[in-house]
Amino acid sequence: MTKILIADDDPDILELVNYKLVQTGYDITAVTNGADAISRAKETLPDLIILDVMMPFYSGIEVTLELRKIPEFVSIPIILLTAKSMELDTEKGFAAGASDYMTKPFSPRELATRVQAALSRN
Amino acid sequence: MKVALILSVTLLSLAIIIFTFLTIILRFWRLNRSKRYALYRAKVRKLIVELTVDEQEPSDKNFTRKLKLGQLEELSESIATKVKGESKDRLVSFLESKGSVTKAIRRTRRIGSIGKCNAASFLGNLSIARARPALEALLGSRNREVRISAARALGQLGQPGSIPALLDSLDKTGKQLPFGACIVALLDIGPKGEEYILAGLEGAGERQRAACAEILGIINSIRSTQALIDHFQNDLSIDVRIRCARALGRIGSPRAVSQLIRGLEDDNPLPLRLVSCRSLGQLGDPEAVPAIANLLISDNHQLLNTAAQTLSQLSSEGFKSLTSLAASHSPNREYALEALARKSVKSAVIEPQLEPLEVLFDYQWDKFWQTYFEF
Amino acid sequence: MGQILANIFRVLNWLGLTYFLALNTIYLILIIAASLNIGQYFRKRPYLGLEEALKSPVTMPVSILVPAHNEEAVIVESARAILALRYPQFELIIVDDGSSDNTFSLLQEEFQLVEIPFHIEQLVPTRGLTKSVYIAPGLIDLTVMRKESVGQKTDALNAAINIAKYPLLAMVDADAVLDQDALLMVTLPFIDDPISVMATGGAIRPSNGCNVVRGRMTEVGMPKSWLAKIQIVEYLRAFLLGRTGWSRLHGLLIISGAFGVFKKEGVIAIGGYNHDSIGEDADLVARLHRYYTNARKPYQIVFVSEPICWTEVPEDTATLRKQRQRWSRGLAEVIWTNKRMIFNPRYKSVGLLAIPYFIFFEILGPFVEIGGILILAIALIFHMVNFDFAGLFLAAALLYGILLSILSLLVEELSYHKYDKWRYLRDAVLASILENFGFRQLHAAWRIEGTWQALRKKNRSWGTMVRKGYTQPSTSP
Repeated sequence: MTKILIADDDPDILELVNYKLVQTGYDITAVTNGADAISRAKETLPDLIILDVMMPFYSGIEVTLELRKIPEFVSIPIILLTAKSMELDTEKGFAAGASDYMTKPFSPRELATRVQAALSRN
Repeated sequence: MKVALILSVTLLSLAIIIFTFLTIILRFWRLNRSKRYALYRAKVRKLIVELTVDEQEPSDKNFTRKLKLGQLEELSESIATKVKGESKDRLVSFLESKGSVTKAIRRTRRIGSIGKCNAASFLGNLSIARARPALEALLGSRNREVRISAARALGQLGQPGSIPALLDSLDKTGKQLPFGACIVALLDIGPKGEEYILAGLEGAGERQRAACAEILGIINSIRSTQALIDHFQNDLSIDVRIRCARALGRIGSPRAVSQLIRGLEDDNPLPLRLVSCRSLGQLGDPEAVPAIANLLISDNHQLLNTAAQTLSQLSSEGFKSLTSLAASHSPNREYALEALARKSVKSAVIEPQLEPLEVLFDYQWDKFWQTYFEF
Repeated sequence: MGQILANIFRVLNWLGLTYFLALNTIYLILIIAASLNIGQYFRKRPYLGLEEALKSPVTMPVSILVPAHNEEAVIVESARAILALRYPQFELIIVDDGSSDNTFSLLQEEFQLVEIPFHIEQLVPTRGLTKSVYIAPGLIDLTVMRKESVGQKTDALNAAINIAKYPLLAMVDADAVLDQDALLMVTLPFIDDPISVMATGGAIRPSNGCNVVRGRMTEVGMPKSWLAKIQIVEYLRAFLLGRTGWSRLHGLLIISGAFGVFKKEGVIAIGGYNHDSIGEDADLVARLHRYYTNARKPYQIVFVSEPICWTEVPEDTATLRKQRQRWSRGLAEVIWTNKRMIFNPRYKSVGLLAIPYFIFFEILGPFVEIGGILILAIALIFHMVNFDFAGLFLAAALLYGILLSILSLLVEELSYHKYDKWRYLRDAVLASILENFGFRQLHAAWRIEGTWQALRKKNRSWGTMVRKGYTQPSTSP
């Protein structure tokens, strides 16, 4: 089963993403902050990671930077969730090594499509 | 005396004990509530999420019927701000069927500013189109926070028709809408409101015109270029003129160049000259280079700095004028040197057309290249 | 003779009693004023959200100024943490004020700093010579300036003001731990009202005992030392409630030097920091009040009561003593230089309420406190103690004081609820009681020393504070 790690400090978004992706048939691990995201990613070695940019302790961008340093995570797709019109964030995110990004508010259906696309590209 | 002593000591000790207990009780209550509600909220959240994401009705219908409406509304509202498209529509129609929307509109007319704020943000977060008149009425409220909440909600509704009301409330003495709140609302409405904002630029209020100029620049309204140029030249308010200059830089119409160059002239106030200079930098037209280079003989520090930094952004023409200044013995050559150095460090690339940089030799380039290559 | 002495004691007793009653009642009023402000946290969502501020184009860019003098333990972590703040556009300027340790070389190594030529316009006066300016390549907007130290933090700040490029200035201590949204929160008043807001400050809390990872607060806690615990309660009461209350009454006089944001034009108009002021933060705000009142411009100075900035407080009495001496000496000097504001109706609540309050209670308070103890001691020696009266006096001073601390804890519980373990609540309650036996009297003595120094104008320099550095948690959890 395809494993996906989601990190977001907002329980609503976590639930929305979780529900939609479980429905689509993925194995989901959910965490609520950047520090946990790094440690759980190392434990579970997911196939795809969804990160919120604004999280406690480490931002999504920092997590991306950190993970890309590890050989196992060099090619894993990372999708960033950013607040509307934070263009600078997406720029920094891509520079850090993110593969895709979505702006909040988002459409759950679109997210599922993007996840699928990212996984098939890999 | 004794009575006073006993009385005060007992009263104060009693008060201390009471308040200590109050704190403890408060904490108990808090912990208890969060425990009790955590499970419950998780369940409700799950249901609302199902409703939001799924095409079909939620699985456990009876449960939604038994829910406390307040909890349901609160959670739905917070989820509604995070989704868009059909998911959001489903959520709204669900809340309509529960009667929450009508109730919220009614609540905007009740007394109590906190209730009004909450109702406004509820209506805004769910983007209820028919709430517009109620929200516009709230803009005239005596309470500042109510006005801000109403403006924000109107922005979320995104109807251009509410722009005149928003702009009017900017200059209402005693019931002013904060500038920042209005800008955010207008931005949320976005380019759809161009017509109204352009009209607002001709309005009587100073804050209103300033807001319109600012927004026109951000939404990149090309057709307002002429109006912005007019106000840049003739507006009575210096604030409006500055904002027009900034907007013209953002829009990037070549027509503005000659006007902005005139904005650099000595008899203009300093802030206007600075903004004109930066806007010319954004426009990137080499035609502006001589005029900006002219500023390099000024004796104002800010102007010199801005001019030098702007020139360093203006392609090879600007670079040339900077390097020639740097090579001269002018007392202002330091400004050119700094601008050039900053530009090179930041982009870590030197323009290829540049001569071997002997003018910059007194600056430690060897150090720079060393670090640059390591980087 | 004995009769006369007894009469003098009686008069003094009554004076002392009324004094403490008045002092504590004013505190009570301030706490109530502050808790009215806290009411807005019962609302579901703040009215102008952070998200809006983040995307708003009228969010003004900020220059963050960090003076550093021998801060090698914290400087890189701090810089990293500040650069990771959530804010649309800002630059970081670190002033290496003649450090003799590795402050600069650590920064250079971390950020690949490159030296650039520079020239400085003296917008505000500086004394120490600027030796060199460095910037970081790429997207990081970091400037490091090295200057000769003249032993004054104010000089480092003024030098940084001269090269700051943005309209807002944020003054941040090198050891301050900021929340990720701290800058956004503290600049929200500027976005709301870009014209009249001139300065804002945030609430400060002690970071001792908290878990700090890479310059970010990860877990709020309480330290082991009772001295620090007492200071936590003290900060809660004085910083949070005192200043929120004063802000509400439009009489805010102090924005802590550890974290405050100012409009650059205002700071330049008043000539920057006053070199010779030892309470430079209060001095700056007082002069802003004066300048804008004299210029007849409407202005606002706003206190943001969210606890968003954490800073290490001394855990040994020697350092604490020096710190408190500096504070009270600074306050006394500021009031002396701004004496024309006292009871001047032009300055409205600052002149009529805030400054008189500071004189009669903050400066005079310790004298009355120690005086009371001395009188009690003398009375004991002469066997002339009126026990009822002594009791009343203690009740007015101590019990009322405890009550106020407890009330602050209650408001904290209602609003931010940061110390969320039962153990912390117990410690806080104990600390608010213990504070009154020993610490309070010691503190009063230190403050008298500070005021005395202000009167004698002794030498001044950076207060040295031994920092632990916060790569490791300061206590084991």
